[in-house]
Amino acid sequence: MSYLEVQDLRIAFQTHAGRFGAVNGIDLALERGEIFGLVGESGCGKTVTSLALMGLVPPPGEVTAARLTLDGIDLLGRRDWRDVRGRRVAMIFQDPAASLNPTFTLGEQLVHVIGHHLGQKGATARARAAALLVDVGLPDFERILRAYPHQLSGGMQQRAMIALALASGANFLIADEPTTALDVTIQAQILRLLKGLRDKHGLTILLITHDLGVVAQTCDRVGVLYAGTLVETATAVELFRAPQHPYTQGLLAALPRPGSRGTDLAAIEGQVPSGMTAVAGCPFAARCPQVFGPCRSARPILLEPVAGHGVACHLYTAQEAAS
Amino acid sequence: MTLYILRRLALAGLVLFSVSALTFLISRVVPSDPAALFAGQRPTAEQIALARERLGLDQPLVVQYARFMGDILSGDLGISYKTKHAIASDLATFLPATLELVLVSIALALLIGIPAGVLAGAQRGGWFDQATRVLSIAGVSIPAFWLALILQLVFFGAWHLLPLSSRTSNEAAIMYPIQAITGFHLVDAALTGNWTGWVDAALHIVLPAFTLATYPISLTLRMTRAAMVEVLGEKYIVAARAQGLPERDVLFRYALKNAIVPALNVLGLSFAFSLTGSFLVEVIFSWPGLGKYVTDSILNADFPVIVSVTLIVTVFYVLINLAVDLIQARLDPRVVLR
Ligand SMILES: Nc1ncnc2c1ncn2[C@@H]1O[C@H](COP(=O)(O)OP(=O)(O)O)[C@@H](O)[C@H]1O
Ligand code: SF4
Ligand SMILES: [Mg+2]
Repeated sequence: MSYLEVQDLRIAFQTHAGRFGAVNGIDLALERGEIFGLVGESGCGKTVTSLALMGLVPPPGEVTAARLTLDGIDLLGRRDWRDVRGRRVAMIFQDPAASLNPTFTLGEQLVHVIGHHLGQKGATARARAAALLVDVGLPDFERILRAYPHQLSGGMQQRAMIALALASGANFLIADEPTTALDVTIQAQILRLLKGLRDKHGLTILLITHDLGVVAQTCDRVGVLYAGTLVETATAVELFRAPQHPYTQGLLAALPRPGSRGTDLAAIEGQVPSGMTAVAGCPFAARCPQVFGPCRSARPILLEPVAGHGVACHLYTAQEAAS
Repeated sequence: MTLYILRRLALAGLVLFSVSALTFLISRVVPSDPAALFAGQRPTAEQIALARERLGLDQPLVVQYARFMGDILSGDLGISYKTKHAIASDLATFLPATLELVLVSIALALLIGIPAGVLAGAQRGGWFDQATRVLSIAGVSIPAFWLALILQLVFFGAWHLLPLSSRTSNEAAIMYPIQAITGFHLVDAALTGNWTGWVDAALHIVLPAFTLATYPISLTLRMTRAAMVEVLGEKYIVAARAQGLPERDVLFRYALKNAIVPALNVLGLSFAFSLTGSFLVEVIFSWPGLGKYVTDSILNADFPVIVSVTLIVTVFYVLINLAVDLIQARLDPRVVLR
């Protein structure tokens, strides 16, 4: 049994224009101590997937799944999340400046979380807060504890946010585009910090990003999301060495290389289908350069033509059926 | 910080100076004869002339104003044309009763309006939100005199729960008189340990304070609700929930501290507004505050009283606004006092 098990996760929003499927049946399995990257274009459902793991999908979102467990405990249909949020799962966000409460000092915020989760007060709590700040690379903790978020740089804010997320003693960290708002050198530092924390504390990390560069630097395994479905999953090394899905191949081809001008994920032509109209066939069919016969009528399911390397594409369905 | 306060106080001085000049001017251009009033009933022409001289009303306006300002600056508010009492001592009698009423009503607005606004904002569109929406619209639109009558009919007339009017009952005033220290009954009774007197005073203040408070309660509630709705959409609230903090902390600590400033501004304005708004309520509830004193002075063109009360209200207005700004700066570290 994996540390985190997700089977057939679906998240839909009932809007006045109809039912909108943001996530349309994804399977994930994370092992303890790994850094798993979830990659995909903006709007493909990365954030709502992570929020679903904490019961924080905002209304009118509806979450269903065949299975959703973390470390053996069931996250499905839970009303009381006290045992999960903070205690087992912690989260950091894209915009650290907006994710830290502007009206409390970092010391106040850290001590409050420590007091709530670990029951430590006063000097003990402050000592733990200081140790956490040192842990995340803020040795100047005396100043940081007294500072308000707006008095810190973006990189320091994200470090402080990580300290706050770890303050409650969680072993599973969800990092939702933690470096998107930061410049490149700071980005590399934060990613190195996350890896270091994983090594030191045995954290399991779900790293959400739209940037394959981040995946290459940090992740052990990767899942590629497209329009709310998982189209490919493999180890990071495998994914870069031999991408299988036409979408992943397109993404990798669009990666900036030395000498060429960099472009982003959206460099693949065409538009992501709106989740409004349920697509009968492959969600990538409208943009796929290799689209063929069955693509528009049947939805490809995630198969493993090579062990440990899953791909949802009819090119491989045929192959598997033939073999 | 200190510099800021000093600058604000200097500015306040300027405001007070302008207000005093304005009220003084208005009081001198309206067609009425204070000297005739001062001279008593059915005065002769000579008596009036004498009164005019004593009051300095025969001097040029500039001289009159200079004298008036000189007196005020030396702490002398002058004497009432009507009662012939020193206005300062009249105010010392009447102002505490009004202030106590206003302070209790503002406390009610704070203690009811803000928590109710937080809860309404937290369950936007829920039954509590709907109910408080209706109630607060009623609260800002019901005339005070009508509400006062209804409250009197229900709580005194029908249920005999609360006294009809005045600041104390006669029995309590005789058996357990409240010794005047600050002039605030609730404070004085507590200071002297006169708990029977305290309960009596508390029961008497409930209806007038609530009548006076309906407007600020409603306004505070709506302001808090609107600010909460906005703040609850912020990322740091999702983050606080993800940290597993209890909903009570998320709402009343993490969100409220960011949402309370508009409500405090409203409360600050309400305080100044209630100082004069209380006059009507005081008359209805026979509350021995400034209300009757001021009404009489207006009816009698008793200008020194009118000017003094105007200045007092202005002083409170200015000080409270300063206090609200300082509190705001304390609550939100991003606010820069300039
Ligand atoms: N509260 C909401 N109401 C309606 N739709 C939402 C809501 N939150 C997210 N969505 C939709 O779900 C989809 C996935 O969003 P999100 O998970 O934020 O994407 P990503 O993080 O991959 O950029 C988007 O198309 C978005 O419009
Ligand atoms: S299933 Fe067809 S359309 Fe979809 S990615 Fe594979 S080849 Fe392209
Ligand atoms: Mg996102």
